[in-house]
Amino acid sequence: MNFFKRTCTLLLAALLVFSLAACNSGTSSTPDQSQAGDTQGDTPDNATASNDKVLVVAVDATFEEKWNPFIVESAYDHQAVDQVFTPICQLNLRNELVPYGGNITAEETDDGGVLYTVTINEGMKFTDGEPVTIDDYIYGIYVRSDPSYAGRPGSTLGGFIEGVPEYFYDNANYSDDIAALEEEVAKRYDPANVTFEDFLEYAKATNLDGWWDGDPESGEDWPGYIDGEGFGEDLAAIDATNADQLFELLAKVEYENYGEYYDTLTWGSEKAKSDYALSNLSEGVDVTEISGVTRIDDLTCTVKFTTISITGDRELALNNGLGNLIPEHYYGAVTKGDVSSIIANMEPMGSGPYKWAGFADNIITCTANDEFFMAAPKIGTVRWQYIPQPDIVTSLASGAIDIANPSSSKANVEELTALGLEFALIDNAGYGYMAMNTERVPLEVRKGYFSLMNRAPTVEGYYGPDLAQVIERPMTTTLAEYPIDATAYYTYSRDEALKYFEQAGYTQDASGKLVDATGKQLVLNTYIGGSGEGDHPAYAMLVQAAEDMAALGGELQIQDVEFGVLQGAMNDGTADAWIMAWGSVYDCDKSTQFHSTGGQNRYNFSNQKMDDLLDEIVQTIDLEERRALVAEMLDFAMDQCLEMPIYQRKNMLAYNSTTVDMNTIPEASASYDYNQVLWQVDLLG
Amino acid sequence: MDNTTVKNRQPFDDYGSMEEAMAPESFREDKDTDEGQLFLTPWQMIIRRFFQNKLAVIGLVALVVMFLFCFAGPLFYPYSETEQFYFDKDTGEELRADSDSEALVSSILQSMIPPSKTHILGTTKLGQDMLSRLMYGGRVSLIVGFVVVLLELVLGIILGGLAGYYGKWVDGVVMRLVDIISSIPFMPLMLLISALMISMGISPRYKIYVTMVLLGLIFWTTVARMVRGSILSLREMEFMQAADAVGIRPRNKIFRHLIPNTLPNLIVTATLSLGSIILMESTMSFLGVGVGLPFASWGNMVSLVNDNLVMRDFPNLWVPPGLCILVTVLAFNFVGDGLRDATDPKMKGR
Amino acid sequence: MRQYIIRRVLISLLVLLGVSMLLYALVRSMPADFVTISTSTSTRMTDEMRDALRASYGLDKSIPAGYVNWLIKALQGDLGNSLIHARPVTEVISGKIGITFGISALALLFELLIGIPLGILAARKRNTATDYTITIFVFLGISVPSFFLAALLKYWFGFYGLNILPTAGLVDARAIYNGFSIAKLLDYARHLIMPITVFTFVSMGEWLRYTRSNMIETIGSDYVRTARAKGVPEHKVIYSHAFRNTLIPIVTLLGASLPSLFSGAIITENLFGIPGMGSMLLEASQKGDVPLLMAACMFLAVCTVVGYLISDILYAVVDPRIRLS
Repeated sequence: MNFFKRTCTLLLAALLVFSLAACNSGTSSTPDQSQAGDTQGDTPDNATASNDKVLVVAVDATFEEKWNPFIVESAYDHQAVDQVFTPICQLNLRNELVPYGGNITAEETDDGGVLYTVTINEGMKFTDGEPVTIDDYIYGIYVRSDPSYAGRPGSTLGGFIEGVPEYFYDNANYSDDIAALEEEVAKRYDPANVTFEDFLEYAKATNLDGWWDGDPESGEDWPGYIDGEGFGEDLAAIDATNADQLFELLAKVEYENYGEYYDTLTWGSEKAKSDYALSNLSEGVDVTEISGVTRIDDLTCTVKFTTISITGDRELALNNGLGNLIPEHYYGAVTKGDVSSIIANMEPMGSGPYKWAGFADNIITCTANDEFFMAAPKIGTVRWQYIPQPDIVTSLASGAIDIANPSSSKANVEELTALGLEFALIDNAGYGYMAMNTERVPLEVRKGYFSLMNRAPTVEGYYGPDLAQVIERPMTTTLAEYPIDATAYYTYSRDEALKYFEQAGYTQDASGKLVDATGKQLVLNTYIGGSGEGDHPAYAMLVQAAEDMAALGGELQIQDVEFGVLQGAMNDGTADAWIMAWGSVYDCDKSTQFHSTGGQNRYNFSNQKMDDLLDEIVQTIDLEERRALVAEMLDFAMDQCLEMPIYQRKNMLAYNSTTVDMNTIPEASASYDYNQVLWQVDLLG
Repeated sequence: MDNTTVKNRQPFDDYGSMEEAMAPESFREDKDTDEGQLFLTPWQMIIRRFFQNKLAVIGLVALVVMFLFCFAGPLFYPYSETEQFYFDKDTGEELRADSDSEALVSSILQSMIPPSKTHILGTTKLGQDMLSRLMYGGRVSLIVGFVVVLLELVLGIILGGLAGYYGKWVDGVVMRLVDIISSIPFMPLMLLISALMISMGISPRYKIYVTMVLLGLIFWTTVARMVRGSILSLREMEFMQAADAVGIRPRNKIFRHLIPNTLPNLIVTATLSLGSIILMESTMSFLGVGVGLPFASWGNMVSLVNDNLVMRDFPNLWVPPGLCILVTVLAFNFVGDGLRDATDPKMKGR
Repeated sequence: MRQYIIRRVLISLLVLLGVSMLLYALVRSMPADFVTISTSTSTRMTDEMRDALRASYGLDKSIPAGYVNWLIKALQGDLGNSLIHARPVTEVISGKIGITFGISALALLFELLIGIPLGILAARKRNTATDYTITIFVFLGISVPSFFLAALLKYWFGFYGLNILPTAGLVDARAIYNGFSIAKLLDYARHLIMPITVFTFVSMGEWLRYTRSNMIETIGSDYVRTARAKGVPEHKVIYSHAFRNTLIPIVTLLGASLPSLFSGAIITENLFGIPGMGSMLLEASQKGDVPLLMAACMFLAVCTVVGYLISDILYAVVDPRIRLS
């Protein structure tokens, strides 16, 4: 066996040399492949490490290879790139902000804003020997506020730093202009006074608020409806089979009879603002500085926020926000309007515990930065390797890798236990849910559908009793505000579901089909990201719901799709319901989701009572009061069927205890793990 | 993807050896019948030669068994493909999906239980009966194969026939279309199309049918090349020139003479591609763009092999569908190869 | 001949134009574009910012305008930046193509080394136990889904089986090699044994089948019978008379397998964690990375077209009976 193995290996090796050589020499005429040769040769082998200890961390997705602190995005790229840089602060075990490369303090100002003071430690050095100054912090804010940076992760535009909109839009009078614009818009697009021309433009852009996409509700056709509204003469004058002419006439009918019921104002103001922004962008540079950012000395600066924000200090001090210290001299000064050369630099350099040594063969290599301000790292070389998820547990067991995060499944827990490997289960700062689009699905139907969710058996079937629990309100139980004594709002019951569907106007016809007044069958779709294999904790629940829907005479279409497709369906409004999970939730503010202006409000939910509740919650300092408000808000959300909460689960971190010195691995929580103190981690022997 | 490279290696159909082999005079060549007294029609000869081939016969038998299993099996089996089973927490008693809601609330999904009397092959991750899914999944896989092959034959014969018969610009247009379609890398194409289909709101129940049509729209090129090649070479044969001389109308020429002469070849291609389409379906299901769950297909069932622990602990979940795919595709290949040998008179020396 | 080649090249350009149009239209009609997918988790994203981002990626243009823009730039040699990787697509592709080509070329070599001799053997021992064994063995390869075979191999040789081969990755991350050494090469080889076996086993059948049926045909032909009658030794009959003729179509088939050397295999690469063209294509199509997808697919299309051209020309070169016109 052994001899055979060796012979085969040798033979293969010889052939590999042959083919690699062929690859390098034979195809050098095209630019593509000559570079391939270079990339292959670009191995990090020559990097020198202070000792020969090697830590191998596995990640379970391929790297995006964006090795740049401004555009790094995937969690896997982050893991390595974060080690190269030093942020101002870190989170600790209890999810609190603690000083690290510096500190941040806040004081409220008289005008309702906040003034943050950011300081950095004395004597820190980048790995090229240059000292770290506060300019390397301010640099990051400028890059991320640049117009050409718009939309990338960590763009400051949506935030509250004073002067950023003016800088971004390159107009010092930004706020005055917007105010003037609002005034003008309010007059022009007031539904009571809007001109027919503007109304027609609105109608075309929105398809009459989506109405034109379907049929007139009464069951008649468009010409019939127009005739019924008293426009028979106009109808006779046009070609009713021509959709454009018919639509124009319909718009006229609506304008004259129901004009004030259409929300032309919101639409008009959005349009005017976007026109304004686009026109400003094309002019020359007027604003060269962000007024809210002030340099005090080499180690200190202040950042002014225009309003109180619970998360402001985190945004300014953590490495997933603006917190990283990034060497301006290395990445190059900002030329306003063009940061392309800065974000194209893929060889990261900073002042963190590790130095970037290269990427090859799907492995990132970093070597210790012995000058690191805390202490010299104990392990000379750290490598991050891509290992497909199915192979992670076995790779740990066979000793190929040291640290990994296997998916937290019942089978993996049992297997790791059986193999005698160390692992930690950490509460996930998030929860799984099913959300519904309230515009597509009427309330009673939503309630009926929620009554078909038999959550407990499937969650327990998928995760077992220890890895996840069913939750009853849409909030992670890791938050103090979660109403711990809440009970199920909708219990699983086919009879209840049928009652709700009947309330919504659906009846079972002679053939047993659940139909509305016009004879249309009740059909709902639900998107779930089970990668086509149904590998999702909520999948079995949906299958049961589909069976039940079929038994009641409706149809539930389960769309098991790639995550990207799910996103698409959710955003463009073709999904009735979708199953997702929120992650990285560290506060109880649900405004981004449930508020009518929320950036993640895919439910298309707009309700004054909800808005008021949400606004009140963020201003309530007292925990008990806030808890009561949150409970009320969540009950209301349940009543409106926005999100069906499904599970709160745990994440898993597994260690190869035969190689890793477990005494150097800290206790982990949702906000804190070995990554924050990688320089302390050591290997055995 | 790996198995599809076959599709790309087709430039020889224009020149390949089989077309000449199918020239009509070869049929008269009946040296093969050692007894020599009987005069057999070409088709009888093909059938006789086919049944002399042991592997081909084994393949045929295997196919018949598979068909009975998938299409007749469900009639004698009590569970549907999607029904989920639960068990009562207290009594341990099995609950079916249509039990009282109250009972189901406090139950647990019977996920991945080992084979038992009630569930001969155990249950899946989603608590469904494995044997039942195997039968329904086979139906889907086989139907996919047949529909796609039928579609590619119809399209290929019509377009290839037109190109070969009329030549000139018709030929140019059709063959460029063939070139374009066969130059697009297959897997990215399928991934894109699948995403598009979902965005159009096609229900997973019907998605597979749309997929079949699309596969047909991609794979007809092989048949078209073949038909065109055959017709081009047949047109030069004496019997066609004779037909011209006698003044037989073009339509009759195509349907009476040209098509029947390419038919044996087409049957062989069709049988072989039945196998490769079933493989294709499994590959697509593995990537999540094939038959959408909760509906079963052999492809999406065998995808479980990606999980090491399932491999080790639940052979009842991956061995049966894997074996079914292997046996069916193998059988189609045996039969196809047998047919090829039987229709190709140059394969002498039996 | 020269005229034929010129005409074929012109037609090929036309075909490539068609391919690029079709591809671009398909890629751009994806339900969620790259911006939607990549920004969906950022809570502070406004539609205004999304539009700005789209404009910077060139995704704001209509499909025809976008296509024309892409085409003009592509013709000038600028294939754009990958949206996922934020670097030139040529750089991304060149980083992936080496390993894919290495594996595919080795696999092809093995396919030929095993397939052709076995095909000859099967043809010589036609309808014997040897022939049947070889045929069944080969058909197994054609009939097994590649991912199934890969999973079986991983299971048998990996941790739960013999535990002698690594199941994922290209090299052992724990080992640090200084420069290019034999040890590193052996490490590569150990990691690539299984993927290459999968490639070889599933594709070998075509070559074997082709060789076998062609050999049977030539062995039965008149000139071989004459050679035998003359008393030429059997192995000489087989290898210098019959096999030479069989070689012709095989050589031309090689031309047509050009694209498969670069396309990689989505599933096999994914299962073994190999960063090649296959996994890159998968990711690009899932995330809607228009420039990368266009560049990679067009590169493969060019390979296909060139492969056909080469094989047609080779066919004419090696077989004087064919006249190209």
